[in-house]
Amino acid sequence: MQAILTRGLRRSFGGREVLRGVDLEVDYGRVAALLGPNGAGKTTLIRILTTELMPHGGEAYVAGFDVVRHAGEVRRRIAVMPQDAKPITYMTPYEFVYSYLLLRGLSRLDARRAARDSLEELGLWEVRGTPIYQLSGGMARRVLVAAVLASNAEVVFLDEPTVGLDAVSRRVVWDSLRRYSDGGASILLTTHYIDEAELISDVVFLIDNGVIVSRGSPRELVNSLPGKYVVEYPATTNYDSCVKVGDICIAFVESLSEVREGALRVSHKSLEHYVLVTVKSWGEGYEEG
Amino acid sequence: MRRVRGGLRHQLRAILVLAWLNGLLPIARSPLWVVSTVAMPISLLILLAILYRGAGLIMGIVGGLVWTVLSSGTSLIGDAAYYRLELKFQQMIVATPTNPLAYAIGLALSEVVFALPGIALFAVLLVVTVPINQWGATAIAVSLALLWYSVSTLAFYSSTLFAYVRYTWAVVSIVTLVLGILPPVYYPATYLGKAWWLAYLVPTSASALVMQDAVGITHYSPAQIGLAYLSEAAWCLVGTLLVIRAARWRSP
Repeated sequence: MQAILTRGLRRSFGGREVLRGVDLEVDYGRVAALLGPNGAGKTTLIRILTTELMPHGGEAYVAGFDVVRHAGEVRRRIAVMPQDAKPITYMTPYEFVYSYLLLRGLSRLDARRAARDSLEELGLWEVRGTPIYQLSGGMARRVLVAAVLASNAEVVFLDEPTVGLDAVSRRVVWDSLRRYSDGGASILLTTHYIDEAELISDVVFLIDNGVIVSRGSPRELVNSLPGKYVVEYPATTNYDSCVKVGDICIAFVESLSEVREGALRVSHKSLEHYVLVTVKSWGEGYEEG
Repeated sequence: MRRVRGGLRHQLRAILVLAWLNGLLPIARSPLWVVSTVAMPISLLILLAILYRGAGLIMGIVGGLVWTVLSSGTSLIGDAAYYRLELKFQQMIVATPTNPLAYAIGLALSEVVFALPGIALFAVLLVVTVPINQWGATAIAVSLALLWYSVSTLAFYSSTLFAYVRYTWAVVSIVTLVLGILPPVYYPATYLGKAWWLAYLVPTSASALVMQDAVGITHYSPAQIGLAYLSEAAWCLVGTLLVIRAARWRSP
């Protein structure tokens, strides 16, 4: 049984089809990253999988249960950190995590233990009694991650969990996510930080304009690019093998001797380059996506 | 993995947790909120007592009770919308065994926690000012409970209609005017003349009508009192149906 499985998932807003037949599967014990431009359908997909939004077509299963017909069963097995979510700021980190766990149905004893473990893991135990409004934005964000990971749910959905976090905080969150999935749980996260997806995910799904256009491990996707190096030229460049992306033109070369005059940047190929040349709808996104 | 249950016991506990986190905690952190809740009804009470002496004082106390319960409902509009639109807290709770009705009742109960000091204050003033028998006290308690339930359910439903949290601020003021000042809450329904039946159109004046009769400041016929209870019960039913319909976790 897969932790997440969708087949031909569709959803429209007004006349605009945001999801146009999404096929996706995530195994247990895996961290999956959903990458794509603004408005590609990432948040809509998360909202459907977390039973908050009805699909208009196709099928979706989470922890083996149909998200439409068995929403109650799904809700007992998942935890979600929505996009732009914020903790209740007059509460302390401990109060927020503890009360969230009680609302999830944990016993008081379990909730106390799990809250402590999670706050310690995310480096928040020292500030457990400080009102959240006195903490930095990054710490407040980590409080949400702590609450969701303390739930010990089978499948966890994180919609842009590291937005606004500094480099150290992001690593703290990444380590926690990795440890969490090592325990057998599945994590589906969306992110605009491609380096983040490359570092922590076992599998990457690239969504563009409402369909999954590519999938695989970060290494597989990067290796599918030609050459060894990536050279960026101005978009006005007219080299044959150059792929125009916004105001740059990307070329793949095997050796540095192939770099031509006018190059803006040369680097090793990475997942970011794969995403840049695979996505076709940069800058076309709507707000609801 | 930790499996969780979502039975009736969990729902009851969830209601208390929500009442704690949205009611008791903020009051404990900033007691000024309690003062702000009773500021307006006390202002009206003082004004009426100065202008109309004894009768004004009693009307001000009855109106204060209704207003305090009403304000707990109007606060719910803002809080529920804030949790849904700004914090996305409701979306986090969707993915838990806590059901929508428990969530709505928990938030409503938390608003009562804010209103309790005000209700206690006006109740004490009422007991000190007017002799009330057991039946009268029961009628007032039942009427306030029905008012709380109907106003809270209607408020929760209203909160689901907003797409932007700041829009709720204006609506709260309008709702307070329409439900707290315009209908016969601070004056007898008999002042409306032949249009006295208008008092039944909103739950606040139906409740005030019962209370005005119970404290003896205005006398209504048994049929009029019966209709007032009927009106309150009907608003409770409407509110429940709207919550069940609108508070489904999932957007269509």
